[in-house]
Amino acid sequence: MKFFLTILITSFTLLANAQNHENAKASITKMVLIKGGYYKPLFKKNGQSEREFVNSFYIDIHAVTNEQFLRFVKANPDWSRSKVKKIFADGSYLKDWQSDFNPGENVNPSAPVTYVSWFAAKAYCSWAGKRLPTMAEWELVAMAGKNSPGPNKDKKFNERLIRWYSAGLPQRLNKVMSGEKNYWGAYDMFGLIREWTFDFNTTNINGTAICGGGSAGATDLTNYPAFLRYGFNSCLSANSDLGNLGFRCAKDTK
Amino acid sequence: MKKYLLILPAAILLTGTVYFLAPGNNNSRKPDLIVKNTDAGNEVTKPNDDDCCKAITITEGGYTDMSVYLSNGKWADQNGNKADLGKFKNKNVVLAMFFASCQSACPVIVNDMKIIEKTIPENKINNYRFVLVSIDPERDTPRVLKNYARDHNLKSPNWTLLTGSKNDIMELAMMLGFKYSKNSSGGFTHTNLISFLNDKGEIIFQNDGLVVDMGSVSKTISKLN
Repeated sequence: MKFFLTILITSFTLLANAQNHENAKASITKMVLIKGGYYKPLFKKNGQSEREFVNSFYIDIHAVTNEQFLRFVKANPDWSRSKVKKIFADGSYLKDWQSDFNPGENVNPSAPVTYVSWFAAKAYCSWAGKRLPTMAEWELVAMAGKNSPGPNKDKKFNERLIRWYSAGLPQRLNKVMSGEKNYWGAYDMFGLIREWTFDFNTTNINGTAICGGGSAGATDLTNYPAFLRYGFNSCLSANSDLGNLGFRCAKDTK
Repeated sequence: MKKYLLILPAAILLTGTVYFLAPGNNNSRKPDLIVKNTDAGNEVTKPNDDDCCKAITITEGGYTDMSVYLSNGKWADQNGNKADLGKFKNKNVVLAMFFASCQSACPVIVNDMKIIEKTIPENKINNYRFVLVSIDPERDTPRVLKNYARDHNLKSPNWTLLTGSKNDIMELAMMLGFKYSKNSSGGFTHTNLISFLNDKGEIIFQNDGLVVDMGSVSKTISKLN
């Protein structure tokens, strides 16, 4: 009797270990809960109120890394550099990687993956059981300061942002979480990369293009970093792949 | 003792089952798993976003690199039938995104598509399909789309009205370069875009705006079978 019980317990223990191993393989990024709240879009859309309510959701504490994206590509070879379809990613897709399944020496495995299109980012999040954050969700997280949910009106913070947004692409991207975390516990909302959102191109639908700048229809003229962000977004297509553009995933609270 | 001899294999079987069914274990699936849509049945299934780590393989169908039909989207038509965009392969497609309760721009777009339909020579009309894809899945159920088709005299099989998940709608919009956003009055702000797809599902011409460039439309039609 004891013998059989031992076998039973041992097999369950082995099983639990195997399960842990599988979880480590998937390496799902830790998420933090973002409490719902009002977000004030920079641009007033047709018939839109000044404030938009965003429901509570979870967001990854850091951007998806090269190492994590490599696992995705290995599990989904259709998303490897040589196999990806042109409609989903332009010619620059993963261009800093050495080959299909090897990021190589020049890429830090713990740095955010860049040169990935919106389609690739969306496919990754879906594979991880998550989704891309909406622009309103992303902005809600990003407007937090170190000690408050924001909006962060610190002048020095804004100056730093402007300097970062106007700086060029660094030679080699830093690893994720090397900066400060914000009130919610999310790292690197600024200062590392720009990030894809689910509806990145919906800022100024019928108005004149603000690709690169402009302020028509703006609700807050002091928010210069947001202008730079929106200007950048309206220049992108969903199959663009850029060296300073990566992503993180989000999830509903249900 | 005999009892335990029975319990042991049962326990092993059970643990094995638990192991294979355990969530997060999907990584062990073959990476080349192909997720395919089947047209069987009338049931409309929603893609499960919680299905972690399954291999997402682009629907294979010999599509070219720039084919819109590479999309994995799952759609339902005005009759409540499952519809894969690939079913339009080998047809010329005139496609627009819209929503049924739209008062201003969408009726114009639908009307423009009807005008385009009339310019197509009679012997070629069967080579064409006219497709309206809703951006308002919450309200535009297949029944609503069916009523819309009836009210606007959009007859099948030439006309197909589709609805799908928010996710798939956004993906198609991104492929086409169509932009839309929900506004606080319950409607949508959106661009006005009519796309012509060839028999491979590649975009060969797009009319952007409410005024149809009939010269370019005629030129496009003359190039198609």
